[in-house]
Amino acid sequence: MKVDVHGLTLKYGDAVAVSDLDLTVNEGESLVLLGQSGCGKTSTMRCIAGLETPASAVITIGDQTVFDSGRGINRAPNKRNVGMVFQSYAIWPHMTVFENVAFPLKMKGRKKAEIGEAVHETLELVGLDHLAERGASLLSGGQMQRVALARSLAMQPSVLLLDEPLSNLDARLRHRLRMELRELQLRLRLTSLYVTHDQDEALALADRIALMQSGRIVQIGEPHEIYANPKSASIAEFLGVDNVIPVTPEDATCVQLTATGQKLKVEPYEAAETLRLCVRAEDVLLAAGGAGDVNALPGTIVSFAFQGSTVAYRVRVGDGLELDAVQMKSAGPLFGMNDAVTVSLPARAMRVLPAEVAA
Amino acid sequence: MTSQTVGKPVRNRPAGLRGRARRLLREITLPAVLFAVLALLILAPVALVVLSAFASDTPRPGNFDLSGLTLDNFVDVTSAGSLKAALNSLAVGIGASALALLIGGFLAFVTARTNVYWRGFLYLVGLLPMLLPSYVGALAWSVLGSENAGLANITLRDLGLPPFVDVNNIAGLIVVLALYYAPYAFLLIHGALSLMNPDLEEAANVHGAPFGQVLRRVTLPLVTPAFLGAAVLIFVLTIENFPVSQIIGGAAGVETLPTYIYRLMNSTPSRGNEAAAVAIALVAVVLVVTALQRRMLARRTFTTVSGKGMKPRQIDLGGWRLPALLAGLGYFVLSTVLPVLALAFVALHDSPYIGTVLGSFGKPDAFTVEAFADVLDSSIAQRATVNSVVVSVAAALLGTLLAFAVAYVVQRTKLPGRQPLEYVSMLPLAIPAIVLGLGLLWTWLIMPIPVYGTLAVMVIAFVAAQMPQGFRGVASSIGQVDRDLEDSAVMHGASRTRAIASITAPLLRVGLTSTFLLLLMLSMRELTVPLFLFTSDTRLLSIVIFDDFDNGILQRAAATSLLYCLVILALSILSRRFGASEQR
Repeated sequence: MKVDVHGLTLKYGDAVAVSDLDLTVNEGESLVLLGQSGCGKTSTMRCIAGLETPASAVITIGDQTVFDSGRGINRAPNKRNVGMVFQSYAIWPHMTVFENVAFPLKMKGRKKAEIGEAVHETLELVGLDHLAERGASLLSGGQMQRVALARSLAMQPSVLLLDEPLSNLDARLRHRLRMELRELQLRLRLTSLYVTHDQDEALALADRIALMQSGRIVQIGEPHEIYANPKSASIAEFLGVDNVIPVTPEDATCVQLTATGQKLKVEPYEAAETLRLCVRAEDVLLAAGGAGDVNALPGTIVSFAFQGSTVAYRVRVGDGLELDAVQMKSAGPLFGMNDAVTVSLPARAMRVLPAEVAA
Repeated sequence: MTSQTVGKPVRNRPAGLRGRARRLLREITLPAVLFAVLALLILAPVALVVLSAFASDTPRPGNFDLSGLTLDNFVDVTSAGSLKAALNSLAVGIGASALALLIGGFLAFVTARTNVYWRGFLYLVGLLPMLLPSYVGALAWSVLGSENAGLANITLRDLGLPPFVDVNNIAGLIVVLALYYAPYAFLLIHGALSLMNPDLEEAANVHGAPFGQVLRRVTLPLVTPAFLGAAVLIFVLTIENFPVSQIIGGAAGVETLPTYIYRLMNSTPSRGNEAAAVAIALVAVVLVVTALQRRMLARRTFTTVSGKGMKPRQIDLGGWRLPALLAGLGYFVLSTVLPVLALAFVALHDSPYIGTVLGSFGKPDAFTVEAFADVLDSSIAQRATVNSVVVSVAAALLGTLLAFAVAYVVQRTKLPGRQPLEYVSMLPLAIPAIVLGLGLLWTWLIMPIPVYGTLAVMVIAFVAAQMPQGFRGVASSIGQVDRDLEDSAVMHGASRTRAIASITAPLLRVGLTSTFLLLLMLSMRELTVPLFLFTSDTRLLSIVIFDDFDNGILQRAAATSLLYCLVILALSILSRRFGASEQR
């Protein structure tokens, strides 16, 4: 069901965790709240769940208002029919897998036969039917994660909340479960809100991503949109843009590197108080020798690292300014330490952005 | 964001305010009720002691006169007698804690970190004296070590040696207290030494420190908090200890602040107001010491526990393995073997007058179980046993429930007033038992509810006195259960109460059981708190022993003590078993 959050403000004492936040999760949509730890994303989720009490907000799930500070409405978490997968999984160790998954159905007062059927169906969905009678404390991390998911799915929630559900798993398992989760989600078309600090996870799992910084949403949009057009340098940096360099404006299509004074041609940009030049390492081109034309800077290789399909270089292009560059192995000769190179920065690949999104 | 689904029609009453008020009311009810209970249990007694110190009359049923406030009572605090008592208390506190730390620290070090002979047994030796309530130990030592009639000296004379043992002086008092409080130092320091992450020591080793330097620069500084904690705990416990001072020091006229308070209360007419003033001085000392400890520890953090359960490195004692064992055995003999033998000897001897110890073993009918039969037969002892069991079980049960409610509110909710609840719960730690007893006496004397003189007042007193232990026990086990577990039950449709009942409480079962058993044990041992509260119908086992000793009925006191120790031993085995199942 559609979830609507309006004017959400949450305070811990004097500290404001979330400030005046608006957010809509459309029916059947997977929305990912992405941000660094402490940005308020988990707090936002816990407000929707009812585990935190906001200072002010109107929150509706479907056509039911679950929280309204103005009218004194605060529906108990257990009456909201919201499923939640906790970061710690919160699998009850004193129950079996079956009992864990059956719990929400028992709370709904379903009949025993009905519960049994539904639990096995859900466990099958996550591939754990054979472990139904196992004690929950004997499960591996990946299995616990699936039980937690099954438990929430079994209750047929109006909305499913997932709080960094993959962060406690090792990289390979995380990758596999991410794919499974996306598959399941595309199949069931469940309205879900997913919290993570991992940009790859967000890009893979989201229909839309809402980026959070210090208690507010700074950008919202489809993954490819956000990836291609971050609104600020700090968002770009968070999304894995390797080179974020302070620049000062020259004219509409030219900026000056603040550290070295070199001028670069860029695409038209919007004026702002502090500007940053953002360019991904894979877009920085390296060539041997010292000469070059527009947007070419002389540089020296400071360090390099072989990464399998690519090679990463760090190049010094002036006093206090170093750039990261990544080249396909086959793209050209491999450089060594202290080699002189020409760094070319294609205008099309660069973006001049304000340091932060204006409040 | 659009607000089409949000814009519900707003009704025209100022419901926001009323809603908020209702929410506040709902939130405040539970903490308010708990606070009222704790205030009655703990704050009221403390307040009455403070007020009495400034009043010219002590609280009486239906009457507590506050008109004649005065500072006169404090004149007595500066009198020669009370200054002497204060100095004695300080000497006893400092001496006993130093000696107890030495004993406990030594045993902890050799059992946690060395290859001393009989390591496992020495570990038990470190703990065993805990089973002997300190006043039973004191009673045994007064039987053993008095200058003329002490069993130790009689035995020496039997052997033709000059008698030299005398515990009835301040040095004896220090030694006896140290013997029975050393286990606290042992436990705390042993914990710190064996839980320390061995990586910390190995890192120092790898970075160039030889073994001795590792010990001096890393290991010892890291156990400083445990050491300091033990020092303060033992200092506070010994300085406020009443029964040992009374039993050992009483005979020699060595007065400490607790015995001085007791004497003021028992003089005719009772000088309760002055007792209250002295009590405040005693509390002040305790508070200053605890504050000092906090300041010393606040400057640094000492996170050493890795929770990985790795085995710390063992030190090879070489030629010192045997001497270390002998030193440990020496403590065992003094703290446990000799006292138990002495009590058994007195209880089994056919006459209270003992002319020879070794000679008695030659006489055919020198020993009889008459004293034990006496105890088992005596209606006073039977009654006291029933009283002790009823009071202890009730106090432990209620104490655990109250502690659970308070600890839950403090740890798991954001309700207003959590901090004060915790402070009040921990307050009795800073109030010496004899002072708390005094306050409880006055509180329940003036209370319009007629509980004074019943077993109920004993239960109330124990619940109040043991609130800190109960709170800490439950709070630490709540802390070990991830709050997500309960939240997730609520998310999946259970009400908060249902979630507590079906998730949190079952997961806490072990923690709650061991807290219950701890409180049961403490209640069974307690003597000082009920000292002012009992009547002839509501005597407890501890009180009967103390009374018998006071009245010179030594044989019965010794026999009761031994039976009493057996009960406590059984209880502690029970609680160990439950404690052990926690590991699973």
